[in-house]
Amino acid sequence: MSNKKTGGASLIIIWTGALAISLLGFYLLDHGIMSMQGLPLNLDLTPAQ
Amino acid sequence: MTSDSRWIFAKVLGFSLGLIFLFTLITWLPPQMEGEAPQEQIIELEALTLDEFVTLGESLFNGRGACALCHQPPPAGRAPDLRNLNMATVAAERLVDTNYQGQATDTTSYLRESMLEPGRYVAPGWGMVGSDGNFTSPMPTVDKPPMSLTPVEVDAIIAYMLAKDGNPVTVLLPGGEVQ
Amino acid sequence: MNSSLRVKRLALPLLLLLLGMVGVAWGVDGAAPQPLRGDYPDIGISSRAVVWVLAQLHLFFGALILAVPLFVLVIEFLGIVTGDRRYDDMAREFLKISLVGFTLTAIFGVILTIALFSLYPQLMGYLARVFDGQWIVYLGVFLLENIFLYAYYYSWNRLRKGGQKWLHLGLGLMLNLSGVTIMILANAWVTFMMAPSGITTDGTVVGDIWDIMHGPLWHPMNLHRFIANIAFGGAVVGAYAAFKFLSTRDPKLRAHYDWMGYTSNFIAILAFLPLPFAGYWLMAEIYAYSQQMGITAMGGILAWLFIIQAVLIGTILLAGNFYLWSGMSRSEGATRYQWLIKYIALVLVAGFMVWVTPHTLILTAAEQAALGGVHHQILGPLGIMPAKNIAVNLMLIATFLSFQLYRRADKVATVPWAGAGNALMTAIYLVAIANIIFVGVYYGYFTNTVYKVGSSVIQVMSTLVVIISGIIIDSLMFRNATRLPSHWGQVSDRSQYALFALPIAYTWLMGLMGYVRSSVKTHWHIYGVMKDNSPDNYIPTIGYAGNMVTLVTVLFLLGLLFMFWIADRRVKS
Repeated sequence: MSNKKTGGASLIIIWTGALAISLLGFYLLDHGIMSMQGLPLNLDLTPAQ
Repeated sequence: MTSDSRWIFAKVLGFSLGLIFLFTLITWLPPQMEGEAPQEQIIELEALTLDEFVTLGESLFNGRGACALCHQPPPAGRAPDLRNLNMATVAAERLVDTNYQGQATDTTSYLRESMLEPGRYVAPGWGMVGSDGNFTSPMPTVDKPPMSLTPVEVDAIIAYMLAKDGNPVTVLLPGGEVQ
Repeated sequence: MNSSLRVKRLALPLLLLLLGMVGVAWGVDGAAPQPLRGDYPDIGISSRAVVWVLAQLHLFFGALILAVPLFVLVIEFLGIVTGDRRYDDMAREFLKISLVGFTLTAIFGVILTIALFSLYPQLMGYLARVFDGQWIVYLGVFLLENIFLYAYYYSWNRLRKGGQKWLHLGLGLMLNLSGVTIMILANAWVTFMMAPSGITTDGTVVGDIWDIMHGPLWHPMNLHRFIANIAFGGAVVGAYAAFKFLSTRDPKLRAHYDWMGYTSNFIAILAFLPLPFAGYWLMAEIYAYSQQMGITAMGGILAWLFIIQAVLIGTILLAGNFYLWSGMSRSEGATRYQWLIKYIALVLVAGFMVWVTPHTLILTAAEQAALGGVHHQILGPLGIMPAKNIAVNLMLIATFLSFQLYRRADKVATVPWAGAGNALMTAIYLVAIANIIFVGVYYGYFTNTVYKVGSSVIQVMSTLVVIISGIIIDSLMFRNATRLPSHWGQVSDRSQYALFALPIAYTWLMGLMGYVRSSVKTHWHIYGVMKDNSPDNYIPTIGYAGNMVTLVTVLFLLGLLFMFWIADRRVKS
């Protein structure tokens, strides 16, 4: 827990940012893992074959 | 050990044995299936009728040939559900597929090729990615270990595959007759 | 005691050496023998049962003595790095507890070898020929291990100061290396029987010893057993600590054994987390080697066994988590996180229930007619792998969360970015969970088999991302953190029972997995190459296996009691 109080607006920014980073990270993970196995995906994560 | 210690020991031991007994109990609940030891079967090949030949093929499909292990209905199946598909229809589709590189010309030869040279053609949607990154067929070669089916046994399975859908059986019986 | 132990330690390797030479000299022509039923010695009881008991006991004690030196080494190293003498003392205590285990392993190993050569002479003769001079190497490493064990344990107090301490650590390292070598040598024999390499279909050797050893299952087995040993070892010494905790009223001793128990549980659960992945790799390699062998294990006759495995792993996870939650009482700062525990418990219980749900139901004919088959329309889909993969990954994430909360319970972060750090950590948890569920449902039920199987790797990686990022974020975020008061020993007696449940479940699970490993070979000694023609050449029922595993677990328990009793007597000296 931080000693500084964070304002409401910056809280939203922090949490949105955290979610965005995580979503992007796992999206890339999904693509990477499946293509490594020779199972390509479309951008909407449907099978490309 | 003090008597206090002895009492704790008894409780701990009781708990441990109780838990072990619980695990044991759970193994008695599911179906108790025993693996089949391989049986020596003497078959008078010359005397087989077509029906008996087809039945032999069916028992091989479900038993030693280990076909039924993978060829199951979805979602559990890891291979096309042969028992519920019409072999003639399926073979006809496969043979005209542009990806088909094999040598078969009809249902019987396609079935035989699929069993003895499964790598020739991967049925669409059923391949797996091999170590070289290409799609391969996960189907094992049936005349190699551990199934090691003989040519007669392969014919019997083909006979079953054809007969079950009512298609004409065009394999030779071991006695040399075509029904 | 010491000198007679020394004599015993020399006698056993010599005996093994002799037996090894007998095996090597058994030269016959190239192919594997194909013995007939009558060629197998008959001792009036099931040879398989005899070997089963001996092998399993050898493996239980062997696993223990491989695992303990490993974390002893790490803890001793921690002691050097932190300068805290308590680590060093605890390391020595862990080793002391397991000393007798080395002798027991050796004794069971010798008896097992005698049993194998007497009851399965053709198989053993062939294996001895295939593995050539490796028996000698095995014996040599075994001797080395004994030497390093003696040196490491008995020189502990003498090699305490400065540079000598590093020499002592070196001895510990050599002990570990020789132990691991022994294990991987033996793993090669076992995996060769399952997936032989370096030979032709009739068993003639065509490769060199490396080809023989380096089959497709060797490394997956090595990894799986290495990690599993650590988890198992942690659980066993935890039981010792728990019993000592319960047996004393002295607050200082209770604090000591509480700390010891916590450390053991930490090792047991931390090593447990990657185990499903190692097991998955092993299963994947089995499937790649032979689809039939894979299906026999998971889709055929042994399928119910994996439901029972779910019960055991559920026990392990519940016990481990319960211990962590109980341990929160040690720290005043834990009340901040208490509200999360019920959700973790919910995930664990729900995950467990999904995992335990079978695909095919045991029904009478009338029930089948009423249901319209052997699969329940709604619950049936929970019985196949996609649902179970979702369940297990979520259970592992939930367990890691318990861990993380426990570790945070006595700290308050002082870094300015703590808010952002927590936001990121929470987001990673949430997105990972969503990803695991989405991927499991979509690829598992709405695409074809290859995508379904491939998607399980995504799930595994998602769980790993949570664990690794959790460790990294916490270690950075809690630098120079404010410590809240935390009291070792301030934990309920009830919590210690979790430390008994863990080794029992692990031991029983190990035995069950041995049943699988042996049974996937069906009626083969060496799969596809040498048929099993003994009277026991069929997979026994799961109830029979359960009885056998219970027998070996109880025998192991007795051996453990003996081991701990001796360790206690050493305390006096």
